[in-house]
Order: sequence, then C-alpha cells, then structure tokens
Amino acid sequence: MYDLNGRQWWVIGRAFVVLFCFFVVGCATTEKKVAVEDPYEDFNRRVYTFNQGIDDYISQPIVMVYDTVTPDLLQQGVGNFFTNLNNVQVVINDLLQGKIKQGTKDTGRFAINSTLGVFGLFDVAKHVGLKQNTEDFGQTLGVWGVPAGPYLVLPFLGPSTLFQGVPGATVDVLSNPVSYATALPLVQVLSAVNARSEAEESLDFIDKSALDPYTFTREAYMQWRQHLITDGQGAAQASFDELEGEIFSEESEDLELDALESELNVSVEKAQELVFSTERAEFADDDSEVDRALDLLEVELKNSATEGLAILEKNNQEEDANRIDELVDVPSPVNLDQELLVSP
Amino acid sequence: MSVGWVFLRYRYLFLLVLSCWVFSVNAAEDMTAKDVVSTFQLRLIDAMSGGSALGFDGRYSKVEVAVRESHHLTKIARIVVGKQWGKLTKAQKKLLVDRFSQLIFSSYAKFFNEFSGETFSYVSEEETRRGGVIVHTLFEIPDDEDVKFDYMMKKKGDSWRIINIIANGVSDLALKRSEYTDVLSRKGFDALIGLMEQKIVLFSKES
Repeated sequence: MYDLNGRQWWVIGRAFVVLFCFFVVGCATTEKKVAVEDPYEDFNRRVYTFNQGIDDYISQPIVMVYDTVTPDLLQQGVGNFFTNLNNVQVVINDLLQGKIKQGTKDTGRFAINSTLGVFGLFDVAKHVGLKQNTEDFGQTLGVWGVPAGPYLVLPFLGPSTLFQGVPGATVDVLSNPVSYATALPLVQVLSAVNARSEAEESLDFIDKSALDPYTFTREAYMQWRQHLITDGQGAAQASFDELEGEIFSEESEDLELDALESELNVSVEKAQELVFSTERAEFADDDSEVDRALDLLEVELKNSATEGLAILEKNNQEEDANRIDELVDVPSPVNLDQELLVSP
Repeated sequence: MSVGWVFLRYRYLFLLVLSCWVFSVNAAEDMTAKDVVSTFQLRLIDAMSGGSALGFDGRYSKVEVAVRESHHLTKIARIVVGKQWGKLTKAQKKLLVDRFSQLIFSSYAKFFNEFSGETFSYVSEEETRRGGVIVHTLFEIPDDEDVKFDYMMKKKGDSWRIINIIANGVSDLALKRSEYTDVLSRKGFDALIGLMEQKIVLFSKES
C-alpha cells in the first residue's frame, strides 16, 4: 500500500535499523539541495492517518496470517519472483537514463533468474556478482531534470511527489508484467501482500522510533528518493554543505555549548562519584556508610528530577498564563486609571 | 579492610592504570577523524556481540561510553532544534541535551542488540570546504547488501567528533532536525521532552 515497493522500504529500514535510528531534496544535476515542499501538509497528514488505519485494521492482519502460514523459504521465493518481474521496469529505466552498461547487466540478471532461477523463484544471479538495482520512472524523471514538486501522501499508496512520484508510479504500473495478469487476480493480491510483508520491519521501526512518524516518513522518503536519483553521488558533501552554517556556527555559540556540556558533565561525574562511594563502602563492608552514600545518591537523583519537573511545571504555568491572557482581555493598570479618569 | 589498605596493597596497579588512562586521553586527542570513527564502530560491534547476554543495561553502558567519546552530542542536540534553540532557557537547553543523549544511548542499546558477523570497513575520506571531514565506510552484513555509512566530522578542541551519520544517503541529522523542529512548533517544548522520555522508557522495556 505504499508507492515504495517492499524492497525499497526494506533497504530504507535496514539502513535505519542498523543506524538506529536519520531537510531537503535537491536537483540531481547540481547536487544543491532545496527545502522539502509540503504545502498540502494538513491534507497529507489526514491521508497518512487514514492509511495508517487501513494498515492497522486490514493490511497488517492479512500479512500476519500470510507470515504465519507461509514458510520462510516460500516467502523468499515469492519475494524473488516479484523482484525478478520488476527487473523489466528496471531495464527500461536503465536505458531511459542512459545507463547502458548497467542495463546490460540487469538484462543478464533477469535472463539468468528467469531461466536458471526457475521463473525468478531463486536469485541465482547474485551468486555470479549481478546485484539487484533499483530504478523506476520517477528516478528517470529526476535524472532528466524534472523537479520532485510538492510532497503528497496518496490514499492507499502512501508517500509520493506531484511531478516525479505520480507520473512515475503510473508508468511503472504500465511497465510491470504483474499489471497485465488480470486473468490471475491472485498474483496481484500476492504481489501486494508480499510487498507489505517485506516492509513490515521498516514500518514497525518507524512506529517505534519516530517522534513524529509523518515527518519521519516524509523526510526519509524524500532523502531516499534523492539518493536513488543521484546514485548516492555527492550526497554526504551536499548534506554537509546544507548544514554547514549550523555546524560551523559562531564562536560564541560554541562557547555556550561547551559551558553547557561542562555543567552536564559535572552532574554526571557527581552521580558517578556517589555510585563509586557506595561501591567503596560496600567493599569496606560498612553498612552505615553504604546507607549514607545511597541516601546522598537518592537526594542527588531527586534534585535532578525535581529540576526537570520544575522546568516542565514552569512551562505549563507560562502556557496557561498565555492562554488566559488570550481568552480574557484584562485591562492594564494604566488603562484602568485612564478609564477611571474618563468615567463620570 | 580499609580503602587506604587496598590502595597501599595495589598502589602500583593503580599507578599503572592511571598512567594508561592518561596515555589514552592524550592518544584520544591525537586521534584522526578516521580513528575516532573506527573506534566508535569497534565499540558498537562489541556491544552488539554482547547481545542478549549483556541485556539492555549492559549494552546501554557500552554504547554510552562509545557515543560520548565520539559524538558532539551538545552540538547535535542544538542543531536538531534549529532556530528554536535561541528561544529556550538555559534549564530547558540542559534538559534537552540530557534527554537527547539518553535517547541516543537507548536507541543504540535497543536496535544494536544482536550480532550476525557484521563488520565495518573503511572506504575513504574527504575534506570539506570549512575544515570538516567526511569518513566513508561500509557496513557489511553477511549474505546481504552492504549499507553505506558516511560520518560527518568536526573538530572539537583537539579531537574530532561525529556530527552526523548518513546511512545509504539518508542523513540522521537532517531527519532529526525536521522531526524535532516540527514537534516543537506544533506541540511545544514539554511535548517534545515527553515524547523523548516515552521512547526512552519504551526502548528499555522492550529489550
């Protein structure tokens, strides 16, 4: 149910899962990045929530059943089969982007896996050094210089962009053999279930780790698409350039950060010292000293927590006060005096 | 058995450990950007190797040391909130840096929880226009595709520190900045801290 196929989501997810955790999109030719365009954010967020609902109540249960009843080996075969069929689209876009050498290799990959790999069920080609490439018509448009345009979340399909994603997905559907298997609706259903199943790990990761899943998905999608369009060339340097102003900030800011860090380190060292004193007392088998050290540690931790709570409390009070000011137009003392003077 | 007795008994050992520590601190100051990255990666693999035997707390302790000694956490926390940093009070800044650091350690401890023979390998490095360095590495996963990891480095005093990690073209710093500035402007500082704390608790419970 996402514009990205399962494999693409898997690669994105894998990158994040191993990283744990991950501005802007640019033009392929200049590598200069520009801010993400999201003028339809309110609409996009509503569609995102709708898609999440569909995913939670329909897609996920289906995938759960599929994962339960289908052995891993069979799932891998199904995944390989659809990835191999997708290579028709990959080769077409290789040629449209002028990647003749890569196109030849991808044709070889498709031929080997369709024959020796039994209709693509087995990925034999990877064992002869032919890696799977990811190419689609959205990337081709990017390589041709068409801008991504505004970010869009499409119902049922997920993340996309107006000028690359929407026309790209349309051409991709037309160039994918699965689309013509109208007589075999089961194949199309299996293709969708397989794609969603492969994306499970990544979507689960986003759910768990993102502070704001919508923004996380948008940024990851836009950066990943840019990475695909540029084939990763110059991405790190472009990222550095974009953030350069903030990374190499004013000296005064660096001094402020150093001072802040020192204060935080003092707190950490203080807590560590208290832990050490507890351990030392335990080593000396002195119960009263252990109790005293633990009391001190508890006080320190309480102080730290109290400081944090005090900040939150103060912020809440300020917010409440602001809200009251907005709701009640309280006349200032000066205005009150003037009103009294004017009053008969 | 007093602490003093322990010190007298093992004073030479203490002196040896102290000299090694002083040496390691001096050595850390002379480390190149590449050295800082490879040390961090080795420590990460070490935490992963411990896996479930170490448990969440064990992995947390290991990655905390690894991240503190290689990342410029205060700077990263400052960048992810963008221009709104200037609007925060000093206490809020301290709270943000503290929770942000904890979230980073927790994330690593949560997601780097198993080892299947993965290795990091150095590819190359390049200098940026204003004196930064980008270290290019590969994360090699057996029977799987490699993941490109690029580390953006900046000098902090005498040592190099990681400012950003780009995994297969996706910038961690840029992604976090979008998320954090979005949450700050839509929901405010308290909500941001609340969300971070929720994640920290969630990560520690599930592992």
